[in-house]
Amino acid sequence: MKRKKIAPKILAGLSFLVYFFLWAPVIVIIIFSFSANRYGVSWDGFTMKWYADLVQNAAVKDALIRSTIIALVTVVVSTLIGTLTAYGLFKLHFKGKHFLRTSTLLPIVMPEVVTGAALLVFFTRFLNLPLGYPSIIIAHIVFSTPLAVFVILGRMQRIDWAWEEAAMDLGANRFRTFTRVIGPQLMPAIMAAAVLIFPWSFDDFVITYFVAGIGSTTLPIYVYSQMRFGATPIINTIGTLFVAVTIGALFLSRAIEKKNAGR
Amino acid sequence: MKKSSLTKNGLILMMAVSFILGVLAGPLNAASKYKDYPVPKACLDAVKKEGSKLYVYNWAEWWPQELFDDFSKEFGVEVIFDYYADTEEVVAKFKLNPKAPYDVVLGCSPFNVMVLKPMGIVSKLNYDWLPNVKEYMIEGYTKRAFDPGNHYQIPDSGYATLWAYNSDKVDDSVPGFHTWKFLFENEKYAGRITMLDNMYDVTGAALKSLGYSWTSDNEAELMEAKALILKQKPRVMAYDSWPRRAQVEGEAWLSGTWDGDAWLVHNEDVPALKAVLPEEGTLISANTDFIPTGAKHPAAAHLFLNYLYRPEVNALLIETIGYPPAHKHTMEFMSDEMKAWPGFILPEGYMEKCDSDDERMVTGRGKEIRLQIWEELKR
Repeated sequence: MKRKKIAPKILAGLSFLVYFFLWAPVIVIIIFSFSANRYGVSWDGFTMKWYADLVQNAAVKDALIRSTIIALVTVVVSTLIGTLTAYGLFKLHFKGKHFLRTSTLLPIVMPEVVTGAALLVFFTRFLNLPLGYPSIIIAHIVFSTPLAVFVILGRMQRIDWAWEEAAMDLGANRFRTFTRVIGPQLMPAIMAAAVLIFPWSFDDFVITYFVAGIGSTTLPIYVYSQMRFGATPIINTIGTLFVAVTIGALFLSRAIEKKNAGR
Repeated sequence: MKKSSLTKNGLILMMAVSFILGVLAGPLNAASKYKDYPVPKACLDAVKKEGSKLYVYNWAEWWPQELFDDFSKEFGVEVIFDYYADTEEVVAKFKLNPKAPYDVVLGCSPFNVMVLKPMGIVSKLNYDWLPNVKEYMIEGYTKRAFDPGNHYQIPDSGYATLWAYNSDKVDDSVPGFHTWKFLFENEKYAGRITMLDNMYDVTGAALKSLGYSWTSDNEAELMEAKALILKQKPRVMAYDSWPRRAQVEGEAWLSGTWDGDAWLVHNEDVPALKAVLPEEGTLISANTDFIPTGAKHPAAAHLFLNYLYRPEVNALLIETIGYPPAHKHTMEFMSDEMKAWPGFILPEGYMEKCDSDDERMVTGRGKEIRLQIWEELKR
């Protein structure tokens, strides 16, 4: 009798701890980003000064714009490739399909340091690709596409494929069937993949660090490099920005999923 | 960045004087009384031919941005930045990508250059394009054993490793306070000490405290240093090269650091922070700039380095970063407080107790043993 009551309490306590450690540092960063304290370590009254400083800091602004451009291109290309890959892996039957399907997981299971260093050597020694936007975007597509593949594959398993047969019976060719019938049904999953990939690319540090060239410093790399001389309150505002972008994307993805489930 | 009030006052005074004398126009900066030696036309032509760009690799948020903006405006050269968080990162980057196309790397240490030069990464400077540097470099900096004549790098400022303390919390009147020995052996401030997160500086300081050379590669001496470091370890709260936050929050009371970093924290954050130039001597080195061999715009890099040695530009740099100048005249324009800061103007005879950069520390046995000590310390 007594034991029964203790277990849920322990679970509740553990859950509380998990959420506490998950959220407390984030909330602290957000609160201190509005604190007038010069070092961003305690509450000295409300101010927006650090956000003004952030906007005026050309290096941060440039890095922010770069990160956004890279993430947007990555989102578009990755979801495109991801959709086609998922379609192929789901619909077609061919030798080695299982291997191909499993190997798309490679960029996810491989330690980022290994992927980053391997890509750097590959780009500079084999492809002679100058480091910069192209190398960063290719690297981001490499680690983002698997996400799109798996999100979209999941959706495909729940589609009623009789629609496709019906459309083709009625004379639509494969391309038209895809754009008019299957595509729209996959849209929620494609959007969900896109909003997952955006922060994934926006936040990436390790791989980007290896393949970034000159003048292509992204925001996470900039934050890291300014730890010696940078002012802490600005780091707090950047942190808040990251949290806002990431959580915004997550909520968007939840909303899309809900809409998707409601159909 | 904030200008020290003395320079502001100096400016006002200059303005008044120029007004009275009826001197017209000209930059109203005290430093402009020293001549600027411009680069020859050949250099400017080459800059144009290269495309008027300059790829800079530097610490983030350290050097004054206006220094680069003014350069850009005056010469029509677009400056593109990339930043690093530690000079070890610079070395790693060039090892992975020897032809990384940076035009000029700023703020490194001579030890980085010693490691990179044998790998063919550092290019030779053309002094015909560096007339200001030729004219204004403090003579002592041109005679260093690792690069006599500064053919492969140019010091933009000097630095000394020392330690800083919070004078509100720490009693500095005890005998033997102003020494490395006190930092390593005092037990009173256990848990309030930070040391640099850098094997060369920690072993070097320990060696000095024992009366040996900072750059020693003698195994017995290094083992003695190791014992001292390991004995101190339980009293160290963190090995942290930028302990600014801990200093500001009053967690760290004694910190191994560099003269300019300590000045910065003293000047901007913690007025009570004071620095100790240890009696045993220390390492006197320099913040060093070099042109990598992968540079696509070497003429622009020379133009920039020459610009850096223009008297008023150099004064702006030194005033912001707070490291002692390598330029003959810059010290004249610094505030009295800055001049009095440990490491800026060395006491008579102090230099003799100090060591300078030596390759034996970063190559062969000297490096191997330090690595072993560091691994054991961090285990």
